[in-house]
Amino acid sequence: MILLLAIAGLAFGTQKMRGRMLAAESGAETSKMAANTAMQERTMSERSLADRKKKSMALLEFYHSWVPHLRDLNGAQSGERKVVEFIKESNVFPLSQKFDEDKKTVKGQLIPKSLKATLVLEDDYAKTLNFLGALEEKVPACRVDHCFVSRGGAGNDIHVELTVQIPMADVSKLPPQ
Amino acid sequence: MDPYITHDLKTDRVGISSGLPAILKFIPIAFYCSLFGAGASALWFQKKTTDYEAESGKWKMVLVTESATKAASDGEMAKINQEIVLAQEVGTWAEGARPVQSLMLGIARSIKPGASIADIKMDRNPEIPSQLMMIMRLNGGGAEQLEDSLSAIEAANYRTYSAQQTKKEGSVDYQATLIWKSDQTAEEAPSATTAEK
Repeated sequence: MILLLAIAGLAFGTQKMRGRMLAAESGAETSKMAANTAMQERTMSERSLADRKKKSMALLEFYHSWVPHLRDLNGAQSGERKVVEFIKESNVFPLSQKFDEDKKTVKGQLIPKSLKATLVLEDDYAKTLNFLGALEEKVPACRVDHCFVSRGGAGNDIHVELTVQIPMADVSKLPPQ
Repeated sequence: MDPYITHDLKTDRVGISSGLPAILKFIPIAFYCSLFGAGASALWFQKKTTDYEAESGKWKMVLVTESATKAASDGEMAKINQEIVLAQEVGTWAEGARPVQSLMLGIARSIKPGASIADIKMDRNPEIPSQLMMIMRLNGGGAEQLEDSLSAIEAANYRTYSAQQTKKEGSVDYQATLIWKSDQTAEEAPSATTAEK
């Protein structure tokens, strides 16, 4: 009787150990499946990333070429200073110059607002057009909203009324230097 | 006869029950076999359990590594997507920031002797900043001069849209919307690069 009980006990113990082994096998199989799924997801993610980089390369190159120009125009003062400097350098005669900050601010955008420069110039045709060309070249981000050119008072003079928008970029959104 | 020996007085015992079945002799054999079998099985199961646990640990490490790599890749993707949004905003601004001076200069250079520009006005469309609304008054030169000036506009890569002209005595008033001619590369990235300026 005792031996029979002992035999039953041994069978039970062996069965328990078998159960543990099967549980460990199942655990290993689950871990393997999870790892394989993670590998597939990682591969797909890397492929999407490579594809996105390839498709957006031209656009991002363009963006990075503009970043230094936008970084230079991070406030109303810097924009105003640039325009005034150009007027002095070009030696063009300003009948009037006015600078207003755009009241409207679009939150969350890289260019939330702009500075509006309203200039009235009257001077030699070549000098005045050269000033406009230099301004557009040196501040490529500036946008000429209004340009009216007519004959000036004397000789080869022209009268130019100009409204220029200068963007005021949110520097915190730009990539670090 | 020995006076101390008494067992001769006892009669032989008669068996009161039959002996145990012969099969029960195998119980001890079964016990020892079970003991050996259980021991061997236990060792085998323990080894396999350890192997499976090691394998599970290995796959868990792989899972952690792959998840970390995917997270890094996703992070980089999010960063690129953010940059793309900013780049598109800059592109939209740049489309409306094309130089006006070169266009004005081209029109001025198209004027032949005997003709002149009375005045020329360009206003940027606030709804579509890449478009310019032009009003030009030409003195003298007639239709030929107007053609030359329109050729200069085309040479500056603009096309006219919704054009209207009014002929007065000795002058022509011309107004049109100027639209930048898109080329193929402009589909992928805005063409208003710093190089062009």
